[in-house]
Amino acid sequence: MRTGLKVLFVTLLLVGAMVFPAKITITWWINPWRIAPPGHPADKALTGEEYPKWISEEFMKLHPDVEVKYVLVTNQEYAQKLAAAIATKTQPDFFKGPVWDSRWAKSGLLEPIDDYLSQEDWNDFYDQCLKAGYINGKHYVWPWVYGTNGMGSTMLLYTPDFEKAGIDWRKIVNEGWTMEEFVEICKKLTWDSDGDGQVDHYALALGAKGDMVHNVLNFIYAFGGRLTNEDESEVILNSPEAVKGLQFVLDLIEKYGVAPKGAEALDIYGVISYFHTHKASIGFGGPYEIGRITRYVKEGRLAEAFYPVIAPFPHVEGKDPVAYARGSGFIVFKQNDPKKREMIFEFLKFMTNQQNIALLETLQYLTARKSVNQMLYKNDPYMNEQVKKYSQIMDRYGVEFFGSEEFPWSQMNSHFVAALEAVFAKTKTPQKALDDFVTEANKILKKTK
Amino acid sequence: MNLLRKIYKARYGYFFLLPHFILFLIFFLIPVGSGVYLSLFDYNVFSKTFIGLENYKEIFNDWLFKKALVNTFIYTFGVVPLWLGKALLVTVLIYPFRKPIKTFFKTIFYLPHVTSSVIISLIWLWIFNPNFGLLNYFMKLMGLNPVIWLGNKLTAMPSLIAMQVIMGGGSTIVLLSAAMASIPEYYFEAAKIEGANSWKIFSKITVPLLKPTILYALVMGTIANFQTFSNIYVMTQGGPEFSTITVAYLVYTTAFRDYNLGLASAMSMVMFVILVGLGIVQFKWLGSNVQY
Repeated sequence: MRTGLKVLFVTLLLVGAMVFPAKITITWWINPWRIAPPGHPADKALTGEEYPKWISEEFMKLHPDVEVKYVLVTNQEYAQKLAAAIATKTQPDFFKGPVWDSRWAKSGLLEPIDDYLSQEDWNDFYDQCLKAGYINGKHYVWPWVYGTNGMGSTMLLYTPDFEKAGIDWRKIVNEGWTMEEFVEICKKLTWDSDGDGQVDHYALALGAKGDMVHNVLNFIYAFGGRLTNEDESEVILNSPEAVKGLQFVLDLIEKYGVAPKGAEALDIYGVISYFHTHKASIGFGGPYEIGRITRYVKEGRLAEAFYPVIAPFPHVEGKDPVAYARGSGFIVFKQNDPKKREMIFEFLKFMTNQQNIALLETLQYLTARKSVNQMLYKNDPYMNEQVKKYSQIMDRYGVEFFGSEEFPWSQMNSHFVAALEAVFAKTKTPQKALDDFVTEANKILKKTK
Repeated sequence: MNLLRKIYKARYGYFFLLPHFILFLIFFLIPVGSGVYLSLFDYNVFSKTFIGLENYKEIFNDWLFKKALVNTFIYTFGVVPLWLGKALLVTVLIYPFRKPIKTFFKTIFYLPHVTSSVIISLIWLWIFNPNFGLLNYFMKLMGLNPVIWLGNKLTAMPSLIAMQVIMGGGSTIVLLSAAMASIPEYYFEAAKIEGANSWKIFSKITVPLLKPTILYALVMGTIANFQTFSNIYVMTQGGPEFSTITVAYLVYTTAFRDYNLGLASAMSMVMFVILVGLGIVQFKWLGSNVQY
């Protein structure tokens, strides 16, 4: 009797496990991406929580045997949280964040994505997006976004100021501008608004910190400067071309007076503030930065919306302009359970299918899919035009400024910022500042090789 | 055997100490021990290789670490005396007032202490803004040229020190006020009858009798300011040209930007040893005359 009960109990357990199998739990991290899910009220400001919540729930509806847990991690704390998680082996199953280190892939911590991409995906994703995680013959970043906030890629023109100064902004948007034309136009956009004899309105503002590095590098690259030699064995950013590019940027402040002094203390938000308050006519960035204007209005940080147009950076006569282009996406940590691995990639396919990836439109970002970008902003002619322009510039002139995935730019960045600070504060000449940067950068490069 | 007997005799005392000791062990001794251990490795989260004292060799040959160390000393020894002097001055000035007025001032000075240091840094970032900042607005009103406070190598560190001195000292004022209230009133009365002036009373009675509290504030202030991080992170990121980089900020970037946790641990250990050394010196130097 007792044996019979035991057998019955074990049988019930087995049947239970078969009928109600344990759920697969997928945990993922994301930094705040203010994407509006379908049905989100247009006048309600986004926190960044809405999209991961919505997409996780939608996937769970399709796969009741999967539980998806998302964690919203702020940009500021992302790096240390992820480092601590990796060190204690509590990392998420996959993540999208502002951090990436190619050593993760080299150490075997990540899953390559190659086997999970369909032929259609290979054809549809931009090369720059696939390149973003290409290490030792394998791809490690599942493409989602093409381009960044547009810093170093395109400029924004506040057209009323251009019209007031009698400048044909349409010509700039369509045909571009040479460095000489750029300087002359900037001079026309610099004036004294209140008549006190002091210039208080500038063509543009410059800075040394944060993403302003991208914008300064654009000028350096446009003049022919490059960060490294072909095989990335040496940093060569002190070449005569690079020095000329940096000198040009400095001249905008010191020689032509078309940008305010104090650039050494300005970060990207300081520069954006000049543009938002119409103290500068030219801003930096792409569609995302246009979206920032409407977002700031919704959040009460800006009184009135305005609608700038996207234009390429100026170019050297006879040469093409340059645009910083890079893709980003999801990174999957190594999985031991093949079933769970399958579901993670299923979730990534779900997030990046044509319908769901198109939600990036609400954030004014380009998607990693060529096919989707053609369909964006069909009902908004202004944004449609800006996105088309941005996409066109990126396609034609897009380059990576910071070397391949294996290049340790993140460790060099602070030395480059110090070089820019020295140049803007005039404590070093562009030549001396770049020489010093190259010395430090090559030391770092040697150490990491 | 004798020792064991002593421990047994004092078992209740040890029992009551135990909870605190366990917390101290978990949150202090073990992390410090782990820090020492990690500093001997080339540890970058994904791999760990024993390299002995190589990390220490590297940091002592690194000009940036030396610069960070010098900056940290400048910041600490710039802030602590001024901030302590300010706290002492405010305490002495508000002491003669009636209790509600004293409480009002103590509350006002304590407020920054309960405000997030990030918020304070953001407000000061606006005050120091070269183009729209409050400070340069007053400079212009006075007919002076605007200054790029945080963008100039010469003014960035003094600006940060000034900010910390102005905002700091709230808790020390509360501590010193409490300590001052415990000084018997007849000491002051006797001194006045003997014809001592205010300075004599301050230097010969007030300061010597406040010495234990001043010593405590000095040691704690030195430790706190030596580890300053959030204002550097928010306001200057160590710039311009590394003129405000501190050891704590360098530890952060080495650990979480470069993922070189071994090297960052070695830097932390150097900071730890310096702080222990400073603490010992301060106790030896100032503690000799203290009567508890």
